[in-house]
Amino acid sequence: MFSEISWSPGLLSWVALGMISLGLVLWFIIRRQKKRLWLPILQVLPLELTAMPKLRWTKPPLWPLVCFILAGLALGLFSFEPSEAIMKRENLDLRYTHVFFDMSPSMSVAFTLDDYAREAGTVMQRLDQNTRVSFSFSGSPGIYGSERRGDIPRLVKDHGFHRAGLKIGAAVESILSNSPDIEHLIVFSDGDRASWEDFNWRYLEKKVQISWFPVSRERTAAQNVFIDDVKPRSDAASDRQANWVLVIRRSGSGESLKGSVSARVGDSVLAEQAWVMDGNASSIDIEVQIPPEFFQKNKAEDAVVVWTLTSTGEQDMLADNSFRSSLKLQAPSALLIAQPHGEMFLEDSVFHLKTSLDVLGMQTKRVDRINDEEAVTRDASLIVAEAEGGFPRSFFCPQQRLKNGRGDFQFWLLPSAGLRDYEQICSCAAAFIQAPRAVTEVPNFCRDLQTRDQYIGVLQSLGALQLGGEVGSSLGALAMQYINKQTRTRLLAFTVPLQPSPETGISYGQLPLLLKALFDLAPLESSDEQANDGRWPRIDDISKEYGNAMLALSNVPFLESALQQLSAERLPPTLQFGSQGMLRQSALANREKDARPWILICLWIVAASIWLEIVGLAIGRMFKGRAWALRWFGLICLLVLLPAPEAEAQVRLNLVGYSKIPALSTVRRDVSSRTSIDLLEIPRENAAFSHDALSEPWLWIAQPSYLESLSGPAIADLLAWIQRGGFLIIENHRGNGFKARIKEAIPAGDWKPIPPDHELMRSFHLLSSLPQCNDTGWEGFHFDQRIAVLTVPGNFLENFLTPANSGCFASVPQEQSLKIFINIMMVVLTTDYKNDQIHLPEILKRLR
Amino acid sequence: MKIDSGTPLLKQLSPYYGIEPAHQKYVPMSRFHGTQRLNLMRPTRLPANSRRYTYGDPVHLIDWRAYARNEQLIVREQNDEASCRVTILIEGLPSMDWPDKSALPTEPSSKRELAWRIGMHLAYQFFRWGDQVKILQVNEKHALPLQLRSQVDTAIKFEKFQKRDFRLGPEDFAAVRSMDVVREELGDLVFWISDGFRGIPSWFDRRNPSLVCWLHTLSALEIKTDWMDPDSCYFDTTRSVKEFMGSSLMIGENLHKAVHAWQESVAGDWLKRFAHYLLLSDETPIRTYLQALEQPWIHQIRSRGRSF
Repeated sequence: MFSEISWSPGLLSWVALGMISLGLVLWFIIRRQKKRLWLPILQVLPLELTAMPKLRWTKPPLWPLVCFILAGLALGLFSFEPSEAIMKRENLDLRYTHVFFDMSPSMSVAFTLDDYAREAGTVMQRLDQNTRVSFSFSGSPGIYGSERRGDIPRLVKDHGFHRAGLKIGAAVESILSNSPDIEHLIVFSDGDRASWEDFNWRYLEKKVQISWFPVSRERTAAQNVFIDDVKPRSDAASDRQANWVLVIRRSGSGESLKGSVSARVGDSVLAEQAWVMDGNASSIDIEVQIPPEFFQKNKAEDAVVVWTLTSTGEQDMLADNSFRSSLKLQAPSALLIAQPHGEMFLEDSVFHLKTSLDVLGMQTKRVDRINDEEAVTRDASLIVAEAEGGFPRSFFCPQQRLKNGRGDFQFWLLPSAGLRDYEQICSCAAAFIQAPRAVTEVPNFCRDLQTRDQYIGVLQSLGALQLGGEVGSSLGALAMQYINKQTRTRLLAFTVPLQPSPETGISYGQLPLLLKALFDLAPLESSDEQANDGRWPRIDDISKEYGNAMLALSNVPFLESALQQLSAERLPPTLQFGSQGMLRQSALANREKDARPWILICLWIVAASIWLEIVGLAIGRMFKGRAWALRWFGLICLLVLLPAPEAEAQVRLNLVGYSKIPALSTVRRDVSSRTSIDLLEIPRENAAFSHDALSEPWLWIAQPSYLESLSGPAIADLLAWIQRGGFLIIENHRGNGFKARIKEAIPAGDWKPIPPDHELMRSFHLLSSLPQCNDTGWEGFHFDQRIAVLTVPGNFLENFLTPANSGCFASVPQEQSLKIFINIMMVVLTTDYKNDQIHLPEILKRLR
Repeated sequence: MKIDSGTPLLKQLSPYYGIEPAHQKYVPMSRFHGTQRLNLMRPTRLPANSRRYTYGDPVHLIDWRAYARNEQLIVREQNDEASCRVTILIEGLPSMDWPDKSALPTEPSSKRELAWRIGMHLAYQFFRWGDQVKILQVNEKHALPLQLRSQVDTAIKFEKFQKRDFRLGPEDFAAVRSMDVVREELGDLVFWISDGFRGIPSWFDRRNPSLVCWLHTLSALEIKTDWMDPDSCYFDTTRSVKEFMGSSLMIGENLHKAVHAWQESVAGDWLKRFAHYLLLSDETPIRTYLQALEQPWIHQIRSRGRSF
């Protein structure tokens, strides 16, 4: 891949390389300034040393030098100008080459027909040595062989520039389907956005080589004024045929323009009006009135008005200055089938729907029940049927129309509010989907449908697609859409009633907008062109409409008039004819490379080198004379970067003899918010004292009687556990029974009441006293310089976890209990670590 | 030789390190009149007048019985001491000020300090023995005498000078004396303490009757090269004209060899004319220095005494 790229040093790269080498030189000169020493003994020594130059090579510090050289190389490489030979000679002689001549309206900007014929003839002549050449024009589907080359001027004149738009992608597709053995396709076109935009030529690169023979637009005035739209005035209810609104638009901006627009039918001029466009305006609307005399004389329905624009300024395209519109104004009709809901029409959902469709300019009619024989049922271009519970589908489902319809209507199926039985609506949808086959029975998959979800599921399984909602979750869909390929009709099966209400989330104002958006998404098909409310067809892609009678007279598409250019990266490789033959741009050219990663790498290297320089110097000074520190410096840095494992401290409450399982969630939250200890939420509940109970560092015992009843080996286990470091807490202790037993087993220890300066009082919180119970205090068995057993005179834990009004510690506030609990936990985990004098400053700080 | 830090080195020398000459070790003497021993060359049986045999002594003086007892040739002769005049000449040229404390990262002692430590030590010891001592700082044409009256005076002046890093000013000395006068007044024993960069001064006369000893003091940094950082050191001889870099001095022990060659040549020149030469540096152990002084050569005064 790099063999095709030449690396040419530009001025910037010379500057960069110069700076790098200067930096290296300065590095060796400045970084190491020599210390000068006077050595007087040299005066008397007969040394045979000559004076040496003051500049000399000294070994620079390794890592900064490596980083500097890397950064320098990256910078140097980056400043080079990698280039690929854009134009390459290609030996295309043996391939089947096809030339496609674009004759879309935008081409008329650059050429007259004579120029075009000459240019096309030149191209074909240059391809003369190719073995097999054919060509075609965008205006017709025909493909001509190279023997017809002499006919090109005539063919160009015959075809002329067409008024319809061209999509090169679709045109190439149709050419390739006609002659699939084409190996090289040359498109003779300008870089017009309207023509090229939908063409993913890279996809075809493996199969066919696509080249673009660019046509320059030298004669453009960068300005084109055209009629964008002509429509009857919407607010003129009565005389719509006479009042028209024209939208005049221009590409580019700058000087103000003026001109006039005229309306003709046949040879007679109906109206003429002047217009002025400001320098910064891109479009203006002007109103034109056709005089009423015309309608008196003629039958207006058949007439076609040709609107012609003249401008004082220079213009690029003349084809789009004439615009046709029909005088036959017929709004699409809609039939709404719904049961009446009494006089409270505000609560009638279809009433609002009808109003909204009226607002959108449709002719609407509402019926209670479908009648297939009625004319309106046969003609309506939109049928809206509301399915209500209890009514069979024969009431609302236009079966006859579904069966006979041929792409001339759209069918909306609405559930009524609170619909509980989806069987009928489902079978109507099924009848639509299976049309033109008649469905008389309720299909099995529609039986017992009671919920909206089931209904959506059935529609989805029938092949309907989701409309609205989120991708992948069909339950949020507004409607399910199905296009019947055979009848070419569209079904929108709504899953919610189209009714303004809090449930549907549609407001009264939103409903017409929603419907308009729906019509944009699913436009109404109409077999009758004239019924399109005066609109004349605009054809975006001529390759799909060959043979259409309206083709020659169609209006120029907006994008063609806009004369926008597509950027060169998105266009195929260009083709030129040099003195030595055909030159094709490399397909790899124009592929942009993002420079940011390189810049980032450079910056990282520079930052790292600066950092290493600074830190390395500091380390070097710190560990002067200890070479290993410098040698392992990199490794130490890496080790520092490794994440240290997070410390964890988990404690589980270990209980014996407690009846209720206390809820620890709040305690756990409090403990973890105050300390770094994670108290597990589920305590270990031991039904009886066992060996397993001694696997935790502490053990709470509810009653001393549990201990007094222990057998010999169990007591031995317990004592061994205590001596190993276990911490025993005995609650509800009042007697002396087992105290003597423990003292007897561990004679080194001693029972003592908890003094106020005990670690239990200050291990985490600073406590002043522990609550007493019937004048019995807390006692601890101390041995091995720690407290090993704690006796609590009441039910402290129970009271703490489930505060009750009875009991010894009922009056102790929850906060105080929590503090005592945390302190006990700390002593269990750390014993008397605070006696260490090292903690004294912190303790004093807290005491202040 | 690697010297551990516990060994006292010459740069720490104070006057109080006693010199115990070999002959005095044998039998302690109760009576001192000076270092100048008058050997009367008369046989005696008194053990106090014993000394070891040295080459050239008359054989009849050897105590053969003592030799039979301990296999040592002991000469017994009658002798006596007299106070002698000791002159200590210390070089005062600028090269003695090297190494400068500001020039090096460590704090080396300069050759001047070393010279003065040795000089004051000798003066103190000779005063102790009852001799007359003079110390002079010698420049090229003239000498600056230091007024020293006694052993105590020497100790006091030493302490004073030590506090000032032995930077002596003109106020410390008596009036300037001409070198010719000094040459005439040289005593019986002359110590010349110098780095020898200016060669042997012309005013040393071979015909001079004195016993002359050159204590050649060099800095340890001039002899050794391991302190040098070849990457960061330049060395210049005249500070402007000729420059050497550390590594060029160290390649093949260049400096090391040159210093030794030079030292041997100047020592050879000296020994052609005079008998005694001692190379000292600030890293020389005090013990070595004392042992060298305790060798019998210092008592060649004695042999001279024969001529009296």
